[in-house]
Amino acid sequence: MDMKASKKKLGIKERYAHMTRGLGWEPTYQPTEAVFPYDKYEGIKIHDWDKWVDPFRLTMDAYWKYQGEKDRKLYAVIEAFAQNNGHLNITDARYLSAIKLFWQGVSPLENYVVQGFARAGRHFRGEASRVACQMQAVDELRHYQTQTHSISNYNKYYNGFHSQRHMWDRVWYLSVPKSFGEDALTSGPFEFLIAISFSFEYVLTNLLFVPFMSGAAYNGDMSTVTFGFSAQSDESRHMTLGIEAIKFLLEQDPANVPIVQGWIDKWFWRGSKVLALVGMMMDYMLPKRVMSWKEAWEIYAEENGGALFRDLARYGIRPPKGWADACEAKNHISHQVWLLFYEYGGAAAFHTWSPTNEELDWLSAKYPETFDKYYRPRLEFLRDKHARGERVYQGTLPTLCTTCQIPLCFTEPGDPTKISHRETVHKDEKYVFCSDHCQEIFGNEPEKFVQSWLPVNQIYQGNCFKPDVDPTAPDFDPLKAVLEYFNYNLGRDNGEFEGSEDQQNFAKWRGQAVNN
Amino acid sequence: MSVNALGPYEFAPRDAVKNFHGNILVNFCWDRHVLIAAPFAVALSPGMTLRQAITNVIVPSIAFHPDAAKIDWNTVTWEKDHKAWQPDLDKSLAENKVGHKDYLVFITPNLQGLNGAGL
Repeated sequence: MDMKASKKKLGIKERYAHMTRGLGWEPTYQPTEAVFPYDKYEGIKIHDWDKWVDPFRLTMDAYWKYQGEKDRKLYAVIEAFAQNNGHLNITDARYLSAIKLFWQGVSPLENYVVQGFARAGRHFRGEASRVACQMQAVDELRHYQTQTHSISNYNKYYNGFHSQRHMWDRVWYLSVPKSFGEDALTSGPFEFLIAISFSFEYVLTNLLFVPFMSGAAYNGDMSTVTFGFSAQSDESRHMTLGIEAIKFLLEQDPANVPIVQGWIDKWFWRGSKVLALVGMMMDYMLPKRVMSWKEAWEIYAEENGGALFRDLARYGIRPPKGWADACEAKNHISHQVWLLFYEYGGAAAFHTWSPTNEELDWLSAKYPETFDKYYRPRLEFLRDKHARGERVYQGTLPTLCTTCQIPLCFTEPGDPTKISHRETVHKDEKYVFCSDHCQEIFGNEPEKFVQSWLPVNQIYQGNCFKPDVDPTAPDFDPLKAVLEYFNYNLGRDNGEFEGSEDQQNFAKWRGQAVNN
Repeated sequence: MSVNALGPYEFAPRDAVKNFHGNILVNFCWDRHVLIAAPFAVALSPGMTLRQAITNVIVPSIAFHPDAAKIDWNTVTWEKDHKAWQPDLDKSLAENKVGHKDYLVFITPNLQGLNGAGL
């Protein structure tokens, strides 16, 4: 019997059509509005969902194939890293603090984004957009997993990596990325898309991933470099989805423009605040530095972002409202945040330290207008105090911004010795903010932000102690009780790097690796 | 403006004064002394005098600043709600009308911070 000749393979366009729109159907026993209840209430008008096209035209079958291939390579490297004691090849044990910060504060955010895209993938009614969102949800889950598998190797040897999930919901500085993620997750699906796909993945992601991954490469951390590379091709797809999403929304209806503009204003500002943590990492936590935070901001935000907003001007979109203030802050925020963590170093689950003279000189050269005048004297003063045996540990809790939840360590634009603060009274209740833009974000959605779980305020309300703690006991130490509630191993996870267990162990083990 | 939502969206403020066990939350910022990395938020009894709050909480928290020991609290000037404010240090917070989550700035014009540069 003759075999029937199979039909020619489908071209990429046809396959994309079958594997996206071809998977959709019209509901028969429920009205469409009941099946998709969430894609109208934000006010976004979509007239033709078929105009959404994924430029990669990626379909699920091809997706599994690519990702499987990447995972095979990645896990071979992770295995080799673990077997060959790759952790001893990093430049210096101070570098571990950068990875701790990533693990504690960025990886859980990946997990939130999984949830957000899974929801967007369910609630958009256009099939192509749903497929793209589902794939991004799976991507982000893969990133969370690969980060877990790569970084777990460090947890075998060093402190501060042990209680990520527990700390995420409790620790004061982790409430910054957590509240950012939860604000996005509790938005409508279109706002989520603009928040994460556009404002974060497209405008700001290079400021997160390039510094961390280049930092890892510069500092001999092959494990992190490899998960970074493995994520890189996903990230470029996510950026493309971000730009595709915004153009689609803007082209569908002119009434979408002001709504989208408002979200860009909000999410650019929120993202720039979260990235202050990355700025500190780049300028202070990498023993071998890649570039300054200011340089990274100039390339990835000012140049690339500037070009993007010139391109979007034809739709009637202008740069985000906080743009000028965020650009002015490039000279300050990394220093302000590092000094904050240094002074509150007793309460952070990573180590802080005083920069060496060579590092101070590097910062002076990178920040000629601000460093010597405003930051070097502070760092040297604190270093001298430490040398005299008086390491500064601030024990009184700081005021937090109701919106971004960062302690009020930032100064007025153009006035670097004046702490910036704003207040709003809403329904007889006062709220404090770090800036005009955080205040405005609150003003647009006060009902949302009156719920902010501000760690400092929660501590004073007595909600941050272990259940068996007795605050009336004569020897009750509230700060210690809070750190125990965070699950810190006191004296090992927190505090000064000099003399820390991580510093000592790394020196000892590396010594064994290179000497008899 | 308000939140865009499908249904009623109204929540009690999480930091209402009733959650603070009889205390109020008060913020203190030392003007132009940014070596103190951030202002402080402290829970205080409204019956406490402002001087007690300063002595018990603020003085120890800023003690590492070289200007701290030189402060003459009787000549410090104050701001509340971004406006000049004249409290009586020996009256209670309540009598001075310090409210829950107020943000108080204390200014020491003769002390100019580290290097005289506002640090």
